[in-house]
Amino acid sequence: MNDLWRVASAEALKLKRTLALRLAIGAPMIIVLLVFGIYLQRGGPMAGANPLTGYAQLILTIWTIIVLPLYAALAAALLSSIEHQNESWKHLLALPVRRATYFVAKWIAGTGLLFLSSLVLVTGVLATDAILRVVISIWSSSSLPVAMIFRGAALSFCAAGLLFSIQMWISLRWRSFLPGIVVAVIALALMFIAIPRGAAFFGSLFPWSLPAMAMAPVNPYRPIAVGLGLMGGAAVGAIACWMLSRREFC
Amino acid sequence: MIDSFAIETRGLTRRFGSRTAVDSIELCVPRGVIYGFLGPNGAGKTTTIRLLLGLLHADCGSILLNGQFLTKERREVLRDIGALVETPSLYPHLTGQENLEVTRRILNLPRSRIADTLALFGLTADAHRPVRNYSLGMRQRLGLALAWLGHPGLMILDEPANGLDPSGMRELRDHLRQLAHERHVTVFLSSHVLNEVEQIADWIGIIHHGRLLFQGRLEELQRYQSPLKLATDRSSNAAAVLEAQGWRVLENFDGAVTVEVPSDTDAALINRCLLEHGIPVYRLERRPESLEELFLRLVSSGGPGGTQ
Repeated sequence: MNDLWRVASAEALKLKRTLALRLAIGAPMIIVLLVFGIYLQRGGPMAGANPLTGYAQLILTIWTIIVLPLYAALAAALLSSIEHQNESWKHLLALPVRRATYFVAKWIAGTGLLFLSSLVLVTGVLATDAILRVVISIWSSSSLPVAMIFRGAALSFCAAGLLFSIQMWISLRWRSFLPGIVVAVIALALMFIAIPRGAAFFGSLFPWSLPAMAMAPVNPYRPIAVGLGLMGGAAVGAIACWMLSRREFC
Repeated sequence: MIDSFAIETRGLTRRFGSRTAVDSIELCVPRGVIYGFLGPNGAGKTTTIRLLLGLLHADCGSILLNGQFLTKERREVLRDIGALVETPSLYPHLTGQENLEVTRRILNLPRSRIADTLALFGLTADAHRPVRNYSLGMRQRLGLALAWLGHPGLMILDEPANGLDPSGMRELRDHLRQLAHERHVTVFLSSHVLNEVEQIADWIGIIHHGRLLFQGRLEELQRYQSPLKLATDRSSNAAAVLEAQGWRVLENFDGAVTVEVPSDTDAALINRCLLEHGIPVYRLERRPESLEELFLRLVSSGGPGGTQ
């Protein structure tokens, strides 16, 4: 456990000045600012009883359907490329630490990035809500569904576990950046084409649609999506760490 | 005695498909020496080093580091080893100091170790610059610093002089000498830069096509292989007589004959043989050979006892 703590702390240091860390803050901020800009431009309430509920829902929907799965893929690829590109495996794996520790630490670092991005998203929604209330005076009495925002962000974060584990496994297994990104793009295309035509149940089993399924307020399969994301992610992560630690990385 | 070796391998073999990269290698690296592991490109040096560090798994054979078997489960054996495999594994977006900090955290070393190591390798002034702005020589020094950070008793360095200019090579040599002689570190160093190894190594191992052709002290190798040069006014006759007696004449030029002799007793035999044939010998001497000449001859003949 001490080894894992130390390697995870080294992973945290490696994130300094990386694109992965910048994107963890930048990606959710862009979504928030984009929707914020649209709302500011319209200057008035959109359809629905509470315009701020719509505001929060739109941000969460864009986040869980597109940005979170893409960012998870990108974060996995960027985290892995820190070692692949700099040929650091030969240094790390020659140190007196169990091999699996490095891979578990990578998972921890990636999960940390996803958590940070979810946190930035929630903070961004709360902060821009305050601005919207000041700028658009007729919204000053509207209330932001804070519980819904926290619940949506937390559940989609949990449900993203499985897709992140798959992406991480691919990115650590292959040196190239491409396989992970190609898989993510194909999976997202499949999600957009196939899932809307199929049953919601199948959507709750497809790793890349789990965050969206977990966020949807009226979805009987939400527990499946969240459970599969969490437990599937842990199981795939454990198998991947075990297999990667048996691989020769040189 | 197992304990007398920093590195010992027994029948170490590794294949890649049908190609045998390392073929039953029996390395014996005594403690406290600088061991030059020589071989042309593709000879199996890097594969051997990766096997020694547990980065690759052996198909058969065993590895003992400081008297302890290296296995998949026994990673602790690597605690007393610092390694630099080919190019240094550095994170270019981090500073020199941060690069050392990554390894320090993993090895759970005291914080003071970083400043000491930076000072030892002359990197204190550049410690807070991102490594992407470092010169090749500085990167190489930082790679060595990383290998040294845990104060290992054994350093395994794969082609550490790669890409260095002459001053960088000299610096590297000085650092390695300092570590070996002042801090009693065993240095196992692979290279194909022969004159570099000649200037620094006490012991030599020569590998070719995955097989260890020679292993021993540098002087042993030079003495073993250094040809005999004899001066005579009848060099053509001398060459013919010696060849007829079974000696291998390497050169017959301008009153001097150079003969390959396995031992010093052959010099006396050659002298007597030529005198018996009425050929005067004015001078007999072993021609000092550079390591490069030795190396090329060994590689082409398949070993010290081999013939072309």
